[in-house]
Amino acid sequence: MKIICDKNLLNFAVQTVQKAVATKTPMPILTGIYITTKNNQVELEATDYEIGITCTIDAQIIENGSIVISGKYLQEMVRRLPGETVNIETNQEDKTILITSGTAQFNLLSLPSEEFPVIQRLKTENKILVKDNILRELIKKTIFACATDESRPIFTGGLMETRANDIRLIATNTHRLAFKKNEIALQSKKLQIIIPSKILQEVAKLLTSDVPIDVEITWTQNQVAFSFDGVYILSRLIEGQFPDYNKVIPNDFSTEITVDKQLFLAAVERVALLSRDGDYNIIKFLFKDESIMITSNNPEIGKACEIIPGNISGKELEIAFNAKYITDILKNLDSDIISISLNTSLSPGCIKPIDDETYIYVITPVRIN
Amino acid sequence: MQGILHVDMDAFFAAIEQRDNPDLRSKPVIVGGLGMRGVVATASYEARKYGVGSAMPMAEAKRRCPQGVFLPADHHKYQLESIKLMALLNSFSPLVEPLSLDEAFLDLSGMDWLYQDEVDLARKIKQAIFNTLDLTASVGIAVNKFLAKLASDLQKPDGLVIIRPGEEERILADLPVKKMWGVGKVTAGLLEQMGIMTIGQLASADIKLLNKHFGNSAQELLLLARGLDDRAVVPNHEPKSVSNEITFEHDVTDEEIILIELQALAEKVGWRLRSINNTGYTITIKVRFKTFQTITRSITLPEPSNLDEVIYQAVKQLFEKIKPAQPIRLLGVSVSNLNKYSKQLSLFAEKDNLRRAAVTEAVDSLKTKFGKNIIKRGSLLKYDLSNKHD
Repeated sequence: MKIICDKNLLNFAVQTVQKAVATKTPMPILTGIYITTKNNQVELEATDYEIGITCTIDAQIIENGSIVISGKYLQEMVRRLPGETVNIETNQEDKTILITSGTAQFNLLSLPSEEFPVIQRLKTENKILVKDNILRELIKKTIFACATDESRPIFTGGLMETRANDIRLIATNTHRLAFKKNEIALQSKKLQIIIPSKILQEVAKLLTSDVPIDVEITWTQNQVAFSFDGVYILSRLIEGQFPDYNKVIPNDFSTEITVDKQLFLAAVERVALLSRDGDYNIIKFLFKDESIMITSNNPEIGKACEIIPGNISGKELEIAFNAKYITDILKNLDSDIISISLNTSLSPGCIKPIDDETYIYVITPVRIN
Repeated sequence: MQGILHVDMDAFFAAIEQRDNPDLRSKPVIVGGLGMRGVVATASYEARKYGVGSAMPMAEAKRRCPQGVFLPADHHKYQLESIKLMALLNSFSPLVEPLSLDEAFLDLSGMDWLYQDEVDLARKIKQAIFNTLDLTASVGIAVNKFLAKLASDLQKPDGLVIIRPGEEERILADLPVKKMWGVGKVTAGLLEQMGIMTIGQLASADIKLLNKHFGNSAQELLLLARGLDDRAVVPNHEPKSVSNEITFEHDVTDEEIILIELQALAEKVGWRLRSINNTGYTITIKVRFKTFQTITRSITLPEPSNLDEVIYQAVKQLFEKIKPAQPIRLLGVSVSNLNKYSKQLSLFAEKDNLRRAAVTEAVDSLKTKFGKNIIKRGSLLKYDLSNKHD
């Protein structure tokens, strides 16, 4: 193999696929990045079997071939290369690799490229198109609500669904749920898959274009792929039945509050300072008249109390929440005024941006005596 | 001050019964399963004179000590006493590791400022136990867990033994190997076949020979025999599962009775889970048939639970799938995959379970106040289960 490519382009491709390079694996080949020539392009690939990423870039191909280079070393090396272009060539059997750029020269051993599990693109009719800014927003606004512990795998992923003309992503750890939908052009295929949250986070990080571009999502029974801008990300799906989220989004409320988001967030963060107790940061809220009283009480440390103004209609209510579940959503709401809708101190409530039904957060309270 | 203190209550279950009923004092009291297949849980010191000991078949105990007072085990009562005991021990050291209902290790590191010396501390603990529970305990103190546990056993009842550094070898030398922690009948039998009767002989045994019989645990055995043990005192040993079993006096085929027994087991397991503030995801049923063939079946709940009804519904469902074709000798219910009980409510919890939790809370507070027999499910009244379960 012999190729010449732009250093910045190569660096972009290496950093992109790097996310899929396996670090702890009994299979050394998975610690490598696979580079292969295709027409006037080269394709870089990495996979740890959970996620596979392919990135295709333009290059000048002098001689075709395939190699696998240690991902760790390639990544460190490429971003430090002094030249504007990089030459990569191999000896006869593709066993050793010579990389030159400007004044620098590296000789690397190739891992056995025939052992690399080359990523097979999904062959399926299941296909939809979504703008990258929409997909990024869906992921960013919901995926934080996923469960982190693996005891129930289904909740470590986000449920992605399409309806007639919207796409939605739902994430929950069973104690809180985030729902976000966006309108999209009419789609012929109905999508309903559970994608691991780690994969969605990586996808969101790679969606960085300034001008909206199309992301093609394809899926089968147990895999999903995101394809955009020469990048192809393949992931397994989480199998199982996601519970009916519509059932847990409450509709009728007896106490409705509107409040300034910044004011509310700052007060909650202050009061929560004294609330830490194991996994819980329990803080209490009293919604009464035109004020919100936020308190915390940790017998071993002390107490905190703050009263801020709010617009409250309906019954007065005292309710306790895990402070983290409140701050998580407040940090993701764009509007200045937010709405909080509640029923009883033991039933779930909703937090939303005011006048926006496309983003809903459901939160369960903590039982207090 | 450094070292480990082991507290072991003297004939705990029997002593509680004797304390609560003056008529039983100075009589041989034997607590355990009273059915034909029951075994002795605890024998009072009076009963031990007749050669009655723990884990002995009840029939054998009755033969050896016909004049004994035989009582069913009231685990609920013993558990409440145990909670008091552990609370008391916790007031002496920040590092307390309960080993069972009536045993615990205390780490003495850094307590020099609080007590004169080890003996002073041990006396104070024994006194406090006596004052609070009106029961006696034996205490052992040594540099590690193994020796401390061994020490508490040397002068029972009401003992206080300190094994000081340098004394281990002399004390261990002539003790039979079965006195060692973790050496049961099987291991002791194997060792005896190899001609190793005492801990001293084990300490100087050939590691290669031990390896052949005990594999990886040979090294551990050898270190223990030499009085070496570096296990730390770990407070709040989190349990991995909670289970209860019942062996029937006569093998059972009647499904109605089986379901009632499963309900009783589910209630016991639920109660124990709640008393340690835990819930669990996985419910398992164990069925042993007349032939001793034993099967287990499990189910994982969407939400962790500690509610009697939820556990019962799960085991009932599992049992109905088994469709047993032969008489049943033993039933067991266990909950594993434990998760600390959380006051955080769940989105997907069944609405019924909120109500059930409230009812359970009320029932539990009654049981705590007035004893476990104060309130019962109607279906459990039909049969007298109380003296069969242990």
